[in-house]
Amino acid sequence: MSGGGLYSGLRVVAGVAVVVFVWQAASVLFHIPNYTLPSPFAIAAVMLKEWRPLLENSLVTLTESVIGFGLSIVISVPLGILIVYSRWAEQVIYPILVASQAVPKVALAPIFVVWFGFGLLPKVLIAFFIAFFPIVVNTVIGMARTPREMIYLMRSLGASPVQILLRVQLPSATPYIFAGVKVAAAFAVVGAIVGEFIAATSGLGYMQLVADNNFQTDLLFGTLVALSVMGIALFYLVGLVEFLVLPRPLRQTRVDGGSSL
Amino acid sequence: MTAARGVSIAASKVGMLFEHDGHSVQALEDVTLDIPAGRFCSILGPSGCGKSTLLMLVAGLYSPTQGNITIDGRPLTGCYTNAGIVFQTDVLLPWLTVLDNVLLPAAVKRLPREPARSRAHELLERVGLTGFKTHFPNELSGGMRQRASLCRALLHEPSVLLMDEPFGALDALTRERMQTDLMKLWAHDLKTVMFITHDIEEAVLLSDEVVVMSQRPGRILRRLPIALEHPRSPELRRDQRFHQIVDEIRDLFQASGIL
Repeated sequence: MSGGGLYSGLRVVAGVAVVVFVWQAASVLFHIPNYTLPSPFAIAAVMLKEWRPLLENSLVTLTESVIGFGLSIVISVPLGILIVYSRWAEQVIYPILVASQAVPKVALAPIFVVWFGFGLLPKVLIAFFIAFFPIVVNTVIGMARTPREMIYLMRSLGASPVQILLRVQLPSATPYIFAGVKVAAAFAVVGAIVGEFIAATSGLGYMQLVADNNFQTDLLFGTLVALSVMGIALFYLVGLVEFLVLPRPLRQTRVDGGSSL
Repeated sequence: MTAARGVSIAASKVGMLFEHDGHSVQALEDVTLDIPAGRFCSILGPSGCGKSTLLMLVAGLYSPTQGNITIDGRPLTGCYTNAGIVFQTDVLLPWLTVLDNVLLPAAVKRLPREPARSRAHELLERVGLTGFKTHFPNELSGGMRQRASLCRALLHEPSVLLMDEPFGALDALTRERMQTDLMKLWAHDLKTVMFITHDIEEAVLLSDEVVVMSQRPGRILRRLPIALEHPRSPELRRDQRFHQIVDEIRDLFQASGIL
């Protein structure tokens, strides 16, 4: 697996290198103006020059995303368990959650700004609202897929409902939960950016707006690169945790493959 | 080791009616049965005859809609938690190693750690899995997994062993090997065994008594004591008396339209 991982990693790097090379060559050959599509070289240059604001704003967005993301894990997994265990939660809370997904969550952003102001809180909440649903759904589905015989087996050993939950249902749901958590990691960053678009004084979303207003297309692309790096890093961080925490048979997704992005 | 000698199992006029949104299915009807302590009893019948339902009832995982079940003379209410169950599939937990799977009953029942571990090692050795303790189930063959599942069922020295077509999913050769292993294990522990199967030869080879069941709704067609000596060996398959009993059951199935 590690050999194949290294090989597929090299392939990803080679693929990116080819795209960058073609892009750079096209920029030079066809004289594409910098304000339409800056060349990779120009983007790299502006990123080096503006590294400090990029880093500072990245940290702001990262903080918002990570808190929103953490909140979504801490709330969604227990909520999923509650929905599986309580008929009431299944019949009352779950339909509300599903219906809530029909609301375009991005459209909630202005309302949150009205309610919670311009600071950290509205961004965290938007990140949370976008990220929590996949984790709840995956927790519910994963637990419901626990083979019936495993539960019979536990009951015949005199296991309590808590023992059945901890020893069978949650472990058998973990591949599903991690799949949901990975989606949530990417969604949380989207949520934070959307919040910053609406009202912010810092963060990569704010930086993009400023760069856009100043026709700094190269910086606009620079923030995009920073955002992508952040999204990929979070995704792989979840993969790494999965790899470290789960016993081998439960690791559904490979941490080394770049193709899943 | 001081093996529990097992307890008696009795079913009295047991019936089971399943109802699923409007449809109702009578799975079992008027089943009266007693298995004395320490006896190996097979329930033999065509598929869909309710024999697995009977096992679930004895385990207390279902409750009968008519009649009642008693274990060791006491009416069963709720789960019977001193049974070892082997299902048709191994039902090993894929995220635990073979050893941890076998130790699951000890973990759930919070049994003392060291005696449980030494018993697990001993059981795994008896079925030839010593070299696979730290493997995960998905790294084992079907036969090895089912052997591990048998060890798990025996770990807490249950007074009753309930087996639901445990070898049904295995290939023919592995099945014979498992039957031999089970005969050895059972001769060692002599628990009360209720063994569900649709394999006539398997039932005759292993059991003290074969209970032959009809098609659905499952009723008892005949109870047949198997007067062959213990310990049983695979050599019995060549024995004339073995074939007489097998033929007798086959005739019974033919007469009742099952074969």
